[in-house]
Amino acid sequence: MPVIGQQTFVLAPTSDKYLSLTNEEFVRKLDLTGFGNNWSRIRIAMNCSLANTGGGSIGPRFVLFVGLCSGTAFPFQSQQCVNAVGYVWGDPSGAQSGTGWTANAGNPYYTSAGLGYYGIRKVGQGTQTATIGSATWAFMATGGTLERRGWLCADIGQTSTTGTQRGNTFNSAVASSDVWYEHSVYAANQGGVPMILESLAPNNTQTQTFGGGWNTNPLDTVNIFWGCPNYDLRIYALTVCFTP
Amino acid sequence: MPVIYSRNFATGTQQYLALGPSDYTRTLSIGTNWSRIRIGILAAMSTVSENAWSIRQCSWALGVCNGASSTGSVQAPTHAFGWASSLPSSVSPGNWTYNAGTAGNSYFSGGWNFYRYAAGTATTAATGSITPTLPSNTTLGGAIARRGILILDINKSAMISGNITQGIMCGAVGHMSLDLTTNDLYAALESPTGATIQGTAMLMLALGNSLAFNEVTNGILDTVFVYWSHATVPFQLYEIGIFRVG
Repeated sequence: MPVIGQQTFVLAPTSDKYLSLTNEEFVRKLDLTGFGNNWSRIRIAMNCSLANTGGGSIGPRFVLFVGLCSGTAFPFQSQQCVNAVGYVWGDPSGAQSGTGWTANAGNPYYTSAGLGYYGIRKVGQGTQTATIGSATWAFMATGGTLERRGWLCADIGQTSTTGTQRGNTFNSAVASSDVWYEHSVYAANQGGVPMILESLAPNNTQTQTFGGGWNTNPLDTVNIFWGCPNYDLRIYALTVCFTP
Repeated sequence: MPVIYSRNFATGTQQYLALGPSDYTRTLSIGTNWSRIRIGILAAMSTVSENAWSIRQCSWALGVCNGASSTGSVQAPTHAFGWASSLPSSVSPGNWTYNAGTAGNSYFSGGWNFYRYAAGTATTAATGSITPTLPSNTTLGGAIARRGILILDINKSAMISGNITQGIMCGAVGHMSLDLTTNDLYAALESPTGATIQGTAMLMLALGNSLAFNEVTNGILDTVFVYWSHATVPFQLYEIGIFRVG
């Protein structure tokens, strides 16, 4: 069961609560009253970090899905998943997938070495994925000379027949810095590929054709799944931005 | 949701509307009974956490539209004409570049388009050259509290349908270390050509960039709006003035 923890930082909020996920998922239905399905893109941004392994990869169950699903009953990880679309880091098929590790002079972070990444749609147990291009991801690790919060987001675009999924994380060039709350929201609010602490976010975009009627079950619920049972994902803040 | 604050200037305290990712809208008492109007604003931009950083990927728009349901923040306006730094629907909007200015009086400069929405479809036009500027709200480094001006000029070729041409007027770099006031805004609004405000000529892009309009087909243009897209870097709107030229 997800639990709430608390961590101390130098920058505001200095005593920050977080939601801890270990092989479980978070769902929150959006209030789309008066808005409905009339959006072209939704960005789901997380101020987050991953537990410190003490010097090695997080694996083999590194699966991080950030996206939208339809309703709260059958989200991404459900075998009866109604309709979930987003970006996934790691291997959603359950195959072995892990990260790299960079000590970064006492301010560690995980890297994308050996890590798969996909734009993904899931209905039932069936998935449709796409992976073209490359990006050098960075995921913040807890602990270090300075306690830091990282940042990542998934952009989900929709047309009547296609879906676009883009993943973004912070750039390793700023891995020694704490992405504090205000800048997390600022980055989420940037329309395109964001600048995180003035450093361009690594990103990767996939566009998939799903066919007419694919979003009849509307994507109305924020859905985050973290697959690793041993090291928790800490979510300090979640920001959802719409592009009309 | 926009919030009202107040701020001290050398000329006194003035309230302002802090626009987050939101619109200010006001339906005109004259409805669509105009052939040329100028929409002028007195405004400033917030800094990114008091850093010398550009404001990344934001949209700022102002113009006229068909009621309050065709403003900058909706997905597909039925009818709207205006000026935007980037279209509100853009998934890759432009930046507002930070400039240090003189004596701490920093300011931002950005790009621009004139645009039209008709039946939900956007068309842009950007012939000409001007670099819009607005002062930052910082008082660090000895900066004084400042407000800037931007005026959009919208001209119909006929009352119901035809073409709309647009122009803009804004503060020059020389204005960025000055605090422009409500009286300056009114003087600039009523100036038939490029105004000289506090001894410095405003920048001006004359009417042009013709785009067709039809108020029978797409709805009357009776509502003024200002839109800003950033939550953590709110737009400070101090004053808005509408001048019916004809």
